[in-house]
Amino acid sequence: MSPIPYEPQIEISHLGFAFSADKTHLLKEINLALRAGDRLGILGPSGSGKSTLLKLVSGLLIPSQGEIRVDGELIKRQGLKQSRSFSQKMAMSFQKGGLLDAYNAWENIDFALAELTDFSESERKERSFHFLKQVGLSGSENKRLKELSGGMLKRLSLARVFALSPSILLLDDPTAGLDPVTADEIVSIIEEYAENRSVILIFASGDLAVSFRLANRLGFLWNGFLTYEQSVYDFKKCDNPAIQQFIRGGLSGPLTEPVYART
Amino acid sequence: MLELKSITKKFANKVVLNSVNLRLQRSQILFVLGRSGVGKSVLLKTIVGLIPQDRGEVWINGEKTDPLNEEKMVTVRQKCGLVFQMPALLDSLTLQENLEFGLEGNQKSGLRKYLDWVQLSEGVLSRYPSEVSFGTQKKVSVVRTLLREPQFILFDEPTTGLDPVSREVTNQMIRNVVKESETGCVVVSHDIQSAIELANSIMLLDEGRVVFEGTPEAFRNSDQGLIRSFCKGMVVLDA
Repeated sequence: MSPIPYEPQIEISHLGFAFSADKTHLLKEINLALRAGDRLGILGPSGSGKSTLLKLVSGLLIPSQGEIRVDGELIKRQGLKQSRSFSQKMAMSFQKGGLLDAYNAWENIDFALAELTDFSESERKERSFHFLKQVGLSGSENKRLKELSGGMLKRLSLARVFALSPSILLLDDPTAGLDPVTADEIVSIIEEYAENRSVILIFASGDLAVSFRLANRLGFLWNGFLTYEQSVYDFKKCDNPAIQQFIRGGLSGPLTEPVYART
Repeated sequence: MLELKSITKKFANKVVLNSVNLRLQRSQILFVLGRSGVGKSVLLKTIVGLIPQDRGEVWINGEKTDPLNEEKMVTVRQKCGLVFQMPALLDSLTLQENLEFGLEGNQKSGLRKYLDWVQLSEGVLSRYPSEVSFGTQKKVSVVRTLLREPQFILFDEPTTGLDPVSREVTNQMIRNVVKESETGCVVVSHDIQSAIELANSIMLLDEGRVVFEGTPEAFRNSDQGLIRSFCKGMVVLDA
């Protein structure tokens, strides 16, 4: 009998977050349950806390209230208290890549593997090259980061995520700043990874076209609350005026552009 | 009229712009689309002489520019205001001081009018850039350009990275400025949605060449491969 395949799950309850005690909560009350196969896109105005939510799930920030459980295990501050097996379950790509200038392309993957896995040196190199090929970066293995275009840097940061073979992928605006043709290629690469495995994908995005294509569930983060719909279709049809203004554009509605900087 | 005649620019061995022609009348909005790294920003910078072209000519209102004559280029830059992707304000000056920086006394007269065009209240100008939102900083940078009463405005990626509401605010601002001042605008972008909504005409660059020129309507209906890929960036709400 074949073993029951591992299926990740995430449970977020009563999650709240403020950057410091004297500041208002950026996230007020978030409740969410995700199962393998869920691809949740988080939309919302700039500054609504999309990146913060991803960082909380990954353990880079700790909740001010409520909790996040992954496979039943409570998330603590990662790297300090979290188990290594936990770090292997989950990988995150950052909006600006989170890459290290001092390393070339393949070394940026290698160092993550060295930190988080037990692969030998030669296995790590082989794996780094393999995943660079998967994202279409063959031939760029030894390039310095400054020789790579914006789209190539995005691919590299995805290759680093894939190389860790996580079951939970957290992607912070994976297509930010890319032209629509490159964005579409990146979406295909992510889809391919997600479709062939039993994974949970959570991504934040400012791009509606990308979100509609990549997600099977969509959430809208605004004023500290996350409203979500079970399908992209339901999201487009929902009667929430903020969501409708957000996806249709237009200046009349509850969303306004701030004049002053956030404090 | 702003006119580019067979502009060619090479970097090392790479031909970034290959005989690019462009014509823009006042009160018109031209979107220059293209993949990243295709030379869109280089095109804008050749117009104002920040990157001199290797071959070809730039004509503004029937006068040929000379990118090597720095003194004359100052006049060109007043006629063609460039609005950078980032607001490029000076942190140590208030917004008001930023606007007045380098201006002659008589150039300040239009201030109130321009603030109105971009929907900015005068009260905010006593603040420093760090105290206001990115959107406000962008508006101030547009006002800074308007104060020089340009006949053409060149926007470099005005909506990249903005959420839909801020994008709408920016597009509304461009529309307003064109309507009120009758400037012609070149907008370099890969925001296909904004191009469809705003442009009078669209130009698509690929590998240094202009591969499409026409109305947004014609762009949407074209069956060119690259254009089809670009149109995937459009938001479909009825499916």
